[in-house]
Amino acid sequence: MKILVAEDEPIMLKTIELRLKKDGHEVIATDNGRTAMEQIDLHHPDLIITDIMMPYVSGLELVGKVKAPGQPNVPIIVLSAMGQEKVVLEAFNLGADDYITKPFSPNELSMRVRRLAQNTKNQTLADKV
Amino acid sequence: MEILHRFIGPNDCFNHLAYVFVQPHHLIAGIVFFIGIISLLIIYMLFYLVYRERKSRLRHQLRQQYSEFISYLAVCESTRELQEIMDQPEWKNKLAAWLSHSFSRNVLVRELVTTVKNMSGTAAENVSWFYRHTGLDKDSYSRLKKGKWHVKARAIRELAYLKQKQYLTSIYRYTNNRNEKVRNEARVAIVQLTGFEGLRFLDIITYPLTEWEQLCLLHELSLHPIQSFASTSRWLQSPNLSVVDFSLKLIETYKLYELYDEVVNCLSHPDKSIRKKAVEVLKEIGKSDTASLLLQQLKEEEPEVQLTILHVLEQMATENEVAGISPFLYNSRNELKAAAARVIGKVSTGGWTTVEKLINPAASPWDELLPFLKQEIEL
Repeated sequence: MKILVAEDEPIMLKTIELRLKKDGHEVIATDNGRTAMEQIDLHHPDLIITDIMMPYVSGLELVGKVKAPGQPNVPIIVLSAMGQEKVVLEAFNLGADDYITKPFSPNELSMRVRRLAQNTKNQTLADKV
Repeated sequence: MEILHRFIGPNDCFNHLAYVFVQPHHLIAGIVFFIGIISLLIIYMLFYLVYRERKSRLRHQLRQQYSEFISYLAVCESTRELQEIMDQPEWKNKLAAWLSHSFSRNVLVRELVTTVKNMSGTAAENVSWFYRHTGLDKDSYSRLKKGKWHVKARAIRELAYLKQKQYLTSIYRYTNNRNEKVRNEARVAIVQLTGFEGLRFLDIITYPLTEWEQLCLLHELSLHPIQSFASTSRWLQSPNLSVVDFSLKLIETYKLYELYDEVVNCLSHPDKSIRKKAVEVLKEIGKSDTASLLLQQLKEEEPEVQLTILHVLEQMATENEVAGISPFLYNSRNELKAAAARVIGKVSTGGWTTVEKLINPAASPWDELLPFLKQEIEL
């Protein structure tokens, strides 16, 4: 699975990248929203993990653009800090599929990615049938 | 000289003296001296800026190197795996270099703290293991012992975030430190490390808990499983007012109905702010007779507490309390009048008609106040 990760904190970005690579995924890592947008157009990832607070283009803007009408359905997991309930709700309104609050366990994120990938696979199969 | 003559008139006594004692070469020497001082200052500032810039560049480089290393540690699934990474020649040499300088050690500890702020579970445990395994905890501990107040505060924070419970006793000693920042960090750290059990420092502290500190403690407690609140009734008797206030906040947050009687006792506390808080807490843990109890209290209270009681009665009062509240419609303070009208308008069966019967709606201040209150309730 090709996963794009957008996170501005270097340790977080690297840890998520390593964890997902351990699970056998191909990872495109970016440290800001603007590069993330470019990478999405270039690589067409199967899943996106994005932080909310990022330089240039915020996570919410990213969700809004990816989930805009007419775009292919790419599942998105949003990473949020504690106490950002309103922002998380806004992300869901824009079409985010899941969220995880910092501090989080990379293992938990890995499980959520697996579950979301399975759901998307089932959905695609159902659509075809 | 001629120029000086032009400015210093011979008739002016002070200027004449200045002319006699301050010779031109004195002025020139003064100017040279100040130019020298300014030049030295500029040179010092330039050197300092270069030094700061270098440090910041070095910090940035170190952070980049650490981020990769810490990420490898974070995704390990066992201690053996962690040890294997540390034993890899590539990391072993780098680690030796990093740990040999106090600056790089400081940056490393900061990065470890940032990591555990963002990660939990095995990842955070691995980072804590590394911190202890490399002896970085001893660095923090020595800073805790010897440093200035801000160094101590940071050391406490590091030890707490990196879950170093072995320093609990040392940190505990700082919970009543004379420096506000140090004691704040220590108190929050104790709760961070031991949860509700850590609140035992409330028994001994003499310095007040600030509002911010109380918020931090409540936030930390919310991250721990709920344990016993047995000591709360004792804290309500504390001579430290902020401890009583915080205990009331605990009762309010965790809805400790079993402490209802103790909260009622706080209504006779000599301090006004405690009585006010007790009224607010009773709103959360109230019983069927709380409204009549508050009504009793209302008559004997100071205006500030009366206002709080009336606000609480808005939620709790019934028709039975209307007669007791109505005298406040004639109080000299407009805010109490308005609060009483709100309660009666809300809880009486007649609503605003009851209020209008009790007052003269055309007279001041009701002619202005009443439409406003009605509109407020409608909204």
